[in-house]
Amino acid sequence: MSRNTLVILWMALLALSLRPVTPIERAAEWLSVPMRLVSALAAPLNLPRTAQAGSEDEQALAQSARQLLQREQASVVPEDPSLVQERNLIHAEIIDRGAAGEDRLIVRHAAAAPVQVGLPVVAGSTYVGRVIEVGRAGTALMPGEARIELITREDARVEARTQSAVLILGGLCSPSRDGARTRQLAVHAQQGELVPGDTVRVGERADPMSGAAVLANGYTIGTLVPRPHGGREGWSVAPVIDYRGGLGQVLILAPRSTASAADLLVHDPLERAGWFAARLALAATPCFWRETRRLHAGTRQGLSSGACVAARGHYLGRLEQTEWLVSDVRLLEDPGSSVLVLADFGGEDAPLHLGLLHSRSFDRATGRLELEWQPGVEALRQVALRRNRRVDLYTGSGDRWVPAGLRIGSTELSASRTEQLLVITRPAWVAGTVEVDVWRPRQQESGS
Amino acid sequence: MRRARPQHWLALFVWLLLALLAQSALGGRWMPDLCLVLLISLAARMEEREAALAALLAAFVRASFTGEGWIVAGAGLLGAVLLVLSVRAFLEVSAPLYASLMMFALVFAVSGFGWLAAAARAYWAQAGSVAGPASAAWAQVALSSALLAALACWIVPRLPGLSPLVSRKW
Repeated sequence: MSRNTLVILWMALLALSLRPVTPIERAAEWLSVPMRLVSALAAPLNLPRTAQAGSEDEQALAQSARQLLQREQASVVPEDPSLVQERNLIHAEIIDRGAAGEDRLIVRHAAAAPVQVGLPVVAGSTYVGRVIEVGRAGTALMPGEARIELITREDARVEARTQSAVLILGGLCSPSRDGARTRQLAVHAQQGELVPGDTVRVGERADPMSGAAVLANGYTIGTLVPRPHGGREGWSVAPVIDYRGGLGQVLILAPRSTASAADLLVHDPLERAGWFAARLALAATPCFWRETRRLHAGTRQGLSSGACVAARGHYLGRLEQTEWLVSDVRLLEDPGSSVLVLADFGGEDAPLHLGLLHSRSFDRATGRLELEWQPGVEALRQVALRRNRRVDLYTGSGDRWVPAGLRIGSTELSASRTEQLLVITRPAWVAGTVEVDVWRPRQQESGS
Repeated sequence: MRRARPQHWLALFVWLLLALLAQSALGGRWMPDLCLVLLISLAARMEEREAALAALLAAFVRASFTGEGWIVAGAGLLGAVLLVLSVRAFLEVSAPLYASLMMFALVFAVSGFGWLAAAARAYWAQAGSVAGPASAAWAQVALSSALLAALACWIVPRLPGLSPLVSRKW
């Protein structure tokens, strides 16, 4: 093999590293499967570490996580009795944000609940959107799942009212100078006198064409704000909630029937039935700037890529790649990894969904982890309303492969900065543990 | 010139495995890149073809411990070995001082390439950004690897089973 041949080989590998080609990647994976098993040889080195893993009281952590989730669920029930009368509230948890686009979410509800296409969806006293598809056996959505369309979707239309005007609104205004963070709902038609700051509520006409949409009447959408466009008068609605990341639990409004709001907590994500116990091959990685691990379990044990990996109620990361016998775990500490986060302000305050947080850096020696948060104005307003800015972070709803309620750490939020680095100190044993649990949602669903 | 036999490659495989096991199990801020140190200490005195094969073998073993695939590991390590093969034509890279200096640079180069590849792959997969390593951590690993390389250039060729692989002297 001459020097030229070696250089050509190197350049080919270089190109494939920077621009992966799927068939070649797949072939390379197959080729390296036997080699990946050699990491199993490291298992005896981990035996002394077993006793070190986790000194915190796992039961107490699980208990506080359950209370947090119950508070989160309770916070979506409207306080105004008039918004509950003549309706049944079906609790649903968002389990997928990305699969159907940003303006369409998949939710999970009690399988027996009478969910139908067209039913409105709310969170607290705020209007969110409507059901556009209900899961059935043999379809992409499983029974007990539904797809909802947010009011932010371009073609969504809702008839709404202020004190002295009627509006047709839906979809987002075109981005302003502030960028995507000040997302406002577009007003398409108006009748009557519009006053800045007026509260905008759903006000569908009660006629046969409206169907179940009238069930959302009285629910808040936002506040009216002037939005001059091209020298002409224009209006938009500043929403009350952050539709990008601020939703975790919702209620589906159904006509009065047997279902009720008491049907909360469809699944307990901390149930043991949903978890598979496994061992990591090693407690560290040779690549000093990455935080990945090799897991001694794979598709043979029913594990899937993307599944959450946790240890004693703490979120560790997720499976990045699964093979028959082994899998790669990408820890939260690995630069660029991300997780949906729920912030607990303590006391009786309702928790706040922060949305997707990205890992920026991690210091192995101190356990200092920096998570990047880009809050919208709605989220900042929510933070400003709380007295306590010190929060405990947990995994939030919105990803079917990551159950809500797993602890991430404690940090402090700012109510003013639109780009924040949340600093968390992870317990020393979390990064070094080898005994982990892997989430298997299908097993959990069939068992509950 | 002695020709390497399968048992010598097996010996290299075992030493690489041990290096990666030690590196993974011990961890720590000042943990040198043992796999790279072992490979470069050998490659400085190997035949070109065998040095390239050693790089690919090291990439396979390394990929079994890390999340990065062997294509990325192979490109990084083969690139490092090709650099050593080029430089040794005019520099005594198996001398402690030059071995240290070269190792210091190679840690940055190989890790930097790994980060670049991870960032490029995340870009193509539309999976967000990949932050690079902290410069302090980078410098610590580079420094400890460079110090170890000064010793390794003398020790590694004498490790059991590896001496037939280092058949050339410059």
